[in-house]
Amino acid sequence: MSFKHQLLLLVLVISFQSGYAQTESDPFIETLLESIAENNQSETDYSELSERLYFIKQHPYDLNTVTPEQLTDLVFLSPLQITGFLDYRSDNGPFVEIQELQLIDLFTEETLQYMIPFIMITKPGMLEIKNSQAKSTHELMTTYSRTLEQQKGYLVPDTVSHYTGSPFKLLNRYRYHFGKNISGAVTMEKDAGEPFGSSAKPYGFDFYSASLFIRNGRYVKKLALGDYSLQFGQGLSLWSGLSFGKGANIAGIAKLQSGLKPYSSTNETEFFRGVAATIAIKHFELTPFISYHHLDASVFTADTLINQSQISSLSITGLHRTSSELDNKGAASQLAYGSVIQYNGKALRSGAILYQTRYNYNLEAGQFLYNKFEFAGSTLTNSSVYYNYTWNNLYSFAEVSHSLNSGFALISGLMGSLSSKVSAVLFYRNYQKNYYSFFNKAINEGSNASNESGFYSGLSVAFTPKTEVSFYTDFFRFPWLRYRVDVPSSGREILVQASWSPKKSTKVSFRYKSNVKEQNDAGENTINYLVPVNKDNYRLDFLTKLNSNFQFRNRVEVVQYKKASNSQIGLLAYQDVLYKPMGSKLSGNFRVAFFHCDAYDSRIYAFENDVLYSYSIPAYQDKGYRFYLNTRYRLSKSIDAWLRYSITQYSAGEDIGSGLDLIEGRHKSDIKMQVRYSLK
Amino acid sequence: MLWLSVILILSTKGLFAQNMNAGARITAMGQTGVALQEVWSIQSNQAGLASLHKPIAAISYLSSIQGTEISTQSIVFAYPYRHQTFGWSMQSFGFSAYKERRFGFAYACNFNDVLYASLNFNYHQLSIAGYGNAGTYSLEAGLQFKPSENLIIGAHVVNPSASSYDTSVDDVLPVFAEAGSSYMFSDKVLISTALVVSSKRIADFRTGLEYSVIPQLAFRGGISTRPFKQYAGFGYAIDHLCIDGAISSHPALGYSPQISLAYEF
Repeated sequence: MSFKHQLLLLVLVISFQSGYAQTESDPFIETLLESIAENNQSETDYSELSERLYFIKQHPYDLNTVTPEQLTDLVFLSPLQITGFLDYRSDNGPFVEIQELQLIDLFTEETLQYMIPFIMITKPGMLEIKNSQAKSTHELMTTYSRTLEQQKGYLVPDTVSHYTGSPFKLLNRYRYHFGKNISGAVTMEKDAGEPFGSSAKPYGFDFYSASLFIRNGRYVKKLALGDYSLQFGQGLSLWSGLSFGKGANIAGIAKLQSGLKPYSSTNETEFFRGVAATIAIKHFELTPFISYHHLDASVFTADTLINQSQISSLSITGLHRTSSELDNKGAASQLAYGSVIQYNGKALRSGAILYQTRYNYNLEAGQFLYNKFEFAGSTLTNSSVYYNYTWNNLYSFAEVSHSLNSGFALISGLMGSLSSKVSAVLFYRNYQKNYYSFFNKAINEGSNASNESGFYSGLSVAFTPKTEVSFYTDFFRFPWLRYRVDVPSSGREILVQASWSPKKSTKVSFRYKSNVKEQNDAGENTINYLVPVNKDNYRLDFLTKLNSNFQFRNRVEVVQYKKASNSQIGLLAYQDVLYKPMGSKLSGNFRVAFFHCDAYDSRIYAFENDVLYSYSIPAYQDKGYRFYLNTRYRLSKSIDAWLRYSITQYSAGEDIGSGLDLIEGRHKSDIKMQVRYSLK
Repeated sequence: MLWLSVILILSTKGLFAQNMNAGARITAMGQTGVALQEVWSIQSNQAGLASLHKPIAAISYLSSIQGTEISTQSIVFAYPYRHQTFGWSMQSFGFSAYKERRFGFAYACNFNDVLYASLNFNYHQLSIAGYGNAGTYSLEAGLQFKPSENLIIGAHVVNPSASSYDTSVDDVLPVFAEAGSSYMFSDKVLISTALVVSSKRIADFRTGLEYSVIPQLAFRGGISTRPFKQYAGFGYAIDHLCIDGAISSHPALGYSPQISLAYEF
C-alpha cells in the first residue's frame, strides 16, 4: 500500500458521512449564493451565476479532467486553492476518491463541503456518463410577478406622467444545452409598468436577449453569437456582468477571470451583442469581439441646423414605463470592438487588451466642478495589460490600464497562505481621476474605478477547522471632488468576521463592519466643509439544521449611522425556516422579520430567498414587519412550480414609497409565480 | 514650515502622547509590543525583557514627520542575570528647538518561563529653546503570561499615578493600559494583537503579523484602528546583528520611516 493510499484510508476513516454527494441540495446552493451575495448591496443579477451552479451540479466536473477556468466557476475557491488542486493532481496522478481532496493544502472541511455537489470522478466502466454528455436538454421557464396594491403610476390620469403598461412583470427564459459544449439561451422580459403587446409596443416584450455558445472546438475554444459577457484581468478595463467587491472572503479581492461567457441575465444594459470568439493556439489565446446595441439615453439636440446631438445621460435601469422613459429607450447606440490576447502558462497567465467603445452621439460631462474630469466625447479607446503568477504559496496579480488620451489605472495585489492556518492579502489600487472605461468592475469604494487610490490588507486565521476569523482594513483617498464632497477626501473601512461551528449542523458567526467617509456638512454653501460619516454594522448570524427536513436561520443586525449631529440607529431581526425533505415534492421556506430603522441612512440590507434562480437583497427601512413564503412543488418529473408571497407591514406613515411607485396605506405585498418545464 | 510643524505637533498631542518608539520590529507589527518578547520590550512591555538570555544593545532612528527634522532617536540596552533582566533606555523626540527626552530603568523577572513581570522607572525632560526645561517622573508595570510554547498574553500599564510636569508646562504624560496576545501559528507565522485604552481616548485595537520567509528574513505588517494607521516592515539577521526597517502611514501626517539595529553579545 502506497503512502498515498494509507493517507487516503486515514481520511476515509475520519471523513464525514458518505453519501453527502448524492443529496439534492438546492438550499445548499442558496446558502452558498447568499454568502457570496451578502457583500454586494446593489441590484446585482445573480441569476446567471445561479443557473451556472445548478447546471454544474447536474453535470458535475470530473476531478481528473476539470480545467482551471472551469474551477473559477466555483466562486468559493481562491486562486491559491485552485493552484494547490492542480499541483496535487499533477504530482499525485488521477484522483481515486473525492475525499482525497482533504489532502490538498488549503482545502478546508468547508471548502470540501462546498465543492462536493459540483464534482465527481469518472471511473472506467461508467460509459453511460459519456453517452449522456451528448444529450440535449431544454428548459423553459416563465415567471410572473406583481405588487398587489395599486401604485400611483397606474391610477393617475393619462394627461400626466404615468405608467403606460400593466402592473405585472413577466419573464420567459429558454435554455438549451447539447452536451457540455453547445448552449443556447433566449430571455424575454417585461418589467412592471411596461407596455406589453399594445399598439405602442407591437413587439410584445420590452427586452429580448438571445445567445448561442459553442465550446471546445479544435482551435476555436469558444464562440459566442448574440449576447455575451467579457471578463478579463482584474476588471479594470474589460469586465461585464457579475463581479464581487470587498467581503468577508478576503481571497475574493483577486478577481478570477472567466473570459468570454454567454450572457443570460436580465440586466438590460451591461452586456455585449454581436460576435466573439476565443481562438487557442498552443499556450496563446486570442479573443476578438464586436458588439453593437442600443442604450437608453436622454439625448439633447442643441442646434437642429447642424444636427449636433449630445447624450446628457445614459440610463442603466432598463425600465421603460413612462412616456419619457419610452422616449429615451434605445436613443443612443454603442459599438464596441477589440481583442484580447493572452498567454496561459502553468504558473503564469498574462494578457493584453485593446478595444474601442463608440457612441453615436457625444457624451456630455456634467456641469458641476466634481464632474470636471468626467468623460466627454463619443469614442474611447482602452488598453490594458495584466498578469497573475503563482509561486509556491504566493499568488500575485496586477493590471495596468490606460484610456487613450486620458488617464491610467493600476491594480496590484499579493496573496499568500503563510501557514496552513493563516492567509494574508495585500492589495493596492490607484485610479487617476481622468481614467475611464465603460466596462470597469474593479474593486472600488466610490461609484466606479476612477478618482481613487487605496491600500487594502486582509488576514484570515483558522484557529481550528471550526473556528475562523477574517479581518480586513482598507484605507482610501479620492484625489478629486465627488458628488456631495466639495474637496478631496479620504476614508477607511474595517471588517471583522468570526465564525464558529460547534457541530456540523450549527454555525454561529459575528460580523463587525465599520466605514468612515467624508462628506459635505449640512450647510448650503458654495463650497462646504467636510465632516466624517460613520457607519457601523454589527451582525450576528445563527444557522442550525434541526433534522434532515428543517433548517433554522436567525439574524440580528444593528447599524449605527453618524454624521455630525445626525445620529441614527437601525435594527433588523429575522427568523428563517427552511423546509426541504429528501425526495418530497414539496419544499419551501419562510421569513418573519422585524425592522426598526430611524431613517434612510440606517437602512439594512439582507438577502432573501426567492424562486429558483432569483435572488434579492432588499433594503429594510423605516419600521415594521416583513413576511415572505416561498414554496416549490414538483408537479411531475419535468415540471416544477414555485410560488412566493411577501408582505411588509409598516407601523407608521400614511403611504409607502414615492413618486409613481407610491402606495396608499401601510402595507405592501408582492406575489410571484414561476413554472419550469425541463426536457432531458 | 518648521513652526507649522511645531504647531501641528502641539495641537495633535493626542497622537503623539504615546510616542514611545519600540523599535522597527514592533512598530512594523502595528505597535503590538504588549505580548512580544525582545530587547525593544523595554519601550513597550518591559516584562518581555525577562525572556532574554544574552545582553543586547539596540538603537533606532525614526523620522517622525517626513519633510521636517522632527525625529525620534532611541538607544536601549538589556542585561539578563539569572532569572532577572535589567534594562536601560534613552529616547529623544523633537528637533533642535523642542526636545522631549525620556530615560528609563527597567527591572524584569522570569518565573519558570511561564510568567514574566516587570517594573519600569522613567525620568522625563522637556526642553524648549528660549523657555527652559522641565522634568518629572513616571512608572510602568507589565506582566506576560506564557501558558504554552506558542502563546503569550500580556498586560501593561503606563503612568498609573498620572504624574505630569508642573503647571507651568502645558503638556501631559500619557496614561494608558494595554492588553494583548501573540501566537505563533507555525515557525514562520506570528500574529499579535493589542487593545490600548488611554485615559483620553477610546480603545485602539491593533494587530500585527510577522512572516519569516527564512529564519534570517522576515516581513511584517500591522494596523491600528484609532487613529487608523497602516504599518509594514522587514527584518534581517546576520550573526549577532539584526537590522529592522519599518514604515508607518498616518491618514493626515503621511509616512514615517524607521530603522533599527540590534547587537546581541
